[in-house]
Amino acid sequence: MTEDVIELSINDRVCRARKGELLIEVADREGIAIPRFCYHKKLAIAANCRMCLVEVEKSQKPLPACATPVMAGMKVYTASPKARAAQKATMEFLLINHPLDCPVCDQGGECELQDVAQGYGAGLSHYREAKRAVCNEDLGPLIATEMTRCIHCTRCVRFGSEIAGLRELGATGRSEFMRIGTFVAHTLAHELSANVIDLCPVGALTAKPSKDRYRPWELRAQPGLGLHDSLGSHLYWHTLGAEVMRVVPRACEAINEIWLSDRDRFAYTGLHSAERLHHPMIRRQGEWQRCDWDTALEATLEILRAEPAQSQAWLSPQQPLESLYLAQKLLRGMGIERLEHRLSQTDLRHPEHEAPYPSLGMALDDIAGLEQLLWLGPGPRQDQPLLHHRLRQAALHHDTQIWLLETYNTQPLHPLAAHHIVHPSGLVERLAGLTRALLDAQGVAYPAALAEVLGRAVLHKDDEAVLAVLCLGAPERRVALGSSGDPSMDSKPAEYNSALLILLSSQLTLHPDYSLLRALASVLAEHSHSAWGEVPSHANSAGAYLAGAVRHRQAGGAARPCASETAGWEAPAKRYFILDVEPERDTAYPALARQRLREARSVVALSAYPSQALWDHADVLLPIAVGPESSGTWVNAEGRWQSMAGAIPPPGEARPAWKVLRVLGTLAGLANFDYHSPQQLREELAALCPPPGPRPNPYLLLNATDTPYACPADTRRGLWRQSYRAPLGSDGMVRRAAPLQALPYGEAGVSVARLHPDEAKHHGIPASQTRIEVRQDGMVVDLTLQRDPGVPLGSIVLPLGVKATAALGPAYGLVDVR
Amino acid sequence: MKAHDDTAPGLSPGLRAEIDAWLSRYPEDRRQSALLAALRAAQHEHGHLEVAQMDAIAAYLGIPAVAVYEVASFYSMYTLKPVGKHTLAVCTNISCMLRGASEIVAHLEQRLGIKLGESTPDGRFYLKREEECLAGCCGAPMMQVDHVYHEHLTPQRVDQILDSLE
Repeated sequence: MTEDVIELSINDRVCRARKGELLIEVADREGIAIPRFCYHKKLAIAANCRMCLVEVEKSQKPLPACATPVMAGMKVYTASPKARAAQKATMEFLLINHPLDCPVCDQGGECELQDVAQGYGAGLSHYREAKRAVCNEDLGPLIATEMTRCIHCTRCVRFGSEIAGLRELGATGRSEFMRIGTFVAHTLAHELSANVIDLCPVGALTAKPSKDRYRPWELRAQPGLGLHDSLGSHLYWHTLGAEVMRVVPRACEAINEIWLSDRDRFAYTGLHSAERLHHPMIRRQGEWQRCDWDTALEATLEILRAEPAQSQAWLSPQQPLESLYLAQKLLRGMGIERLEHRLSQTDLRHPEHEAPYPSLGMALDDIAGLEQLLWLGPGPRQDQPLLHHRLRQAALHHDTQIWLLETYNTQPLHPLAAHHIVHPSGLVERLAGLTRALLDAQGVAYPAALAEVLGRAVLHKDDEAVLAVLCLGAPERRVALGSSGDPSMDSKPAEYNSALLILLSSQLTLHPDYSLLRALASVLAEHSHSAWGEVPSHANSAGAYLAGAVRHRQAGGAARPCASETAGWEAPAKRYFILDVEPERDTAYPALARQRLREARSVVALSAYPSQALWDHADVLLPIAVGPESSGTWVNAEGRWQSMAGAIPPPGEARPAWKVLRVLGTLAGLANFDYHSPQQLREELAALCPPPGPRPNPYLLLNATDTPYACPADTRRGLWRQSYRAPLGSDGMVRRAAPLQALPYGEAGVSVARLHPDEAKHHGIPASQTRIEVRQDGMVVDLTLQRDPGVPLGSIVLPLGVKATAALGPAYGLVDVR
Repeated sequence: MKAHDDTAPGLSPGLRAEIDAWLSRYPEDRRQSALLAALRAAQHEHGHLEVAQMDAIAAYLGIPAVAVYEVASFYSMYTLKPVGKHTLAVCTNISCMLRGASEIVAHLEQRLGIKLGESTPDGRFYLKREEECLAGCCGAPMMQVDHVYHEHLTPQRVDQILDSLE
């Protein structure tokens, strides 16, 4: 590659660069400042602001550094009189129409225009005429606009087409009448839309929820993590005193690059919700009373001690490793064996064939290196927006072929090799057919446990193309599978370079045959030499397994003998211990969860936002910290352990959950509960986790003596409910973030029943009807009807995690509509 | 990801046929190339462009709606509001200006009782503000009436032309 490296000089300094590299990139690498507005390293070149003009020897006119490829022997001057004159003139033009409202502008103090004007502008303008003013756009609850400030750099427009994949903003009109906007007013609907706030070099687009509430220099930036999907995006909490004022992305190329999902960015607005619990509460003679911590902890211990064999613990997969580890240590120490974090997973069968914990099976960075990706179940667009972004970049720029087999249309914004929408039970049939065809093609006998299922399976003709691709999987592609549980901070899973990946969507854990899907996918992966993975559904779904916050695993992830026969979370118990769970929104069977609590003798809950079910049925409520209020460690979808420190104190008497659990352990007289810091807990757990090593494909765990997998129920008749976790119903903080909930995909927006238009007709629903009555297990809810051709026939799609469906039966099952 | 909507809801069969004819001139994956022609055809059909129509064209060409708005709002030849039936566009660029275009405009404004950029209340005439030279300098002053060039204009000639229109 040496012939591709050339030498040029910038300001008489000799620089080496790749042939064809852009001048501005070379200068940036060399630390030579060139002012710019439209150029952004993540976006395509526009060269429309002209701010980066530099002098290039032998060129009559100054050239834009952002659009000039370097050539051997080029002599560039960025600060010569000619370059300076060009930059100064451009600056003057840009400022002609820009208002002088910096003192009242949110961007003031962190504004690129302000900074560049300081360095390159003149004190005076030749312009004496009237300035133009532009009406503001209403882009929705997240982005405030002041369009008179816009300098038409078009970064926001390019973001829409290149990164988001949904171009909602554009430059309409021409010359002096050109303006940036949506033309037809609407709320920006993309899940990453608020990134335009960071991209905007001026104060035209700013964050609406924090508008006019701070000056940038008053804020303290504290590193944190996005806790609302399983990626664990890096971010900064910008705090003023004890309050989070705003959230901005923290660059991390391996995870979120420089982006942040709108959910991670604005979830902080839920911190100060009126529903926050500030003090310990106890129920006396049916009345809630505020009490002190000592009283509340005593009452809690009494409940835990009462009948451990009849007690059940519901733990949140949002909680950090430290509190989950301590919770299981406390509960098991007191004899409570029934603990579970998989409250929204409907099929917990065949734990013997589980991977150590759900994960992608590779690093996010490796997705771009894939040749083929078979995605099973609903796509990640709303669920894990930055994972969707990764898929999109891989498909667009690295020719990754994405085969999407989903159960309703999630409107993916990336190119697809195939896109099939099938009934949830059809998904099992299709996957079984594919697996059988592959095994038949290779002359491999069916694994005994799957023999019955595979024996009945037939390859669907639409899957012949993907079968051909899977058959190509060459043995030499097979390499050591990614590592598990390297406990060091920010550790990257071991290198993995398989060109094929089979992924199970995080929404599939709501599928009634998840264990079968997992087994089939693992067999398919094994025989096509593909990597395979399960996308974790929550911020710490992976960590909860490692912490032992599940009935059949010890802390560290080792199997816990005999525990797999223990009844599931939905089986009745007399006493409940609840950690950060809203039973009517976090479980796959909300009505049943409520009923269990109602029938229980006593319920104790550690909660930041007690839901109605807890106010109705709990006996003790202990206030805990959430999000930036507590330090902790989360294991993301790659298996990467990531820690953050608390950025603000919790409100009132609320305390981090791990501290509450530590005190409970000490008061209960349990040994080894004198922890001083979360680090200590993390190190203790890390020592229990297996060292990084091959991540076994559960296929290898299949053997002849296994309980056979049952064939899925016949669903050819009737209307079957399928569910998805509402994108903004992921956890308590997000549910109470008012600006997020005002989005089109907020709680009100998704609280609809989605039905195929023909299915609606089939059920005799007149075209004029806009509401629908959904009946399941004798319970009825009334919902807005959305006729959606992206829903398969025989199925109705309902959200989970919103109030509207909290009174309904399980996430999957037969329903009636009217 | 569906590239475009084959069913073309919101487009008349004639309009769709015209767009298809243009599409046949470009590569399969360059449907956006037919946008200018599609908008022109749509404007001929309805006299102006409406958002619903632009959205239908966007869906049919498989491009973002805002990309259609950008083009439609950029060119002065497209009009986004309802206008009179006959479009009168007097060239006011340099050659026509030197040959008395302002007199022609003044006469039209006086006879129709409207200003440049307006339509008559009876919906018959639209007096367009012509931004560019119409390349009829040898016959200046000139105007374009529904895409037909009329040259060597005088106020009397203008009256004749208007009288001949419905």
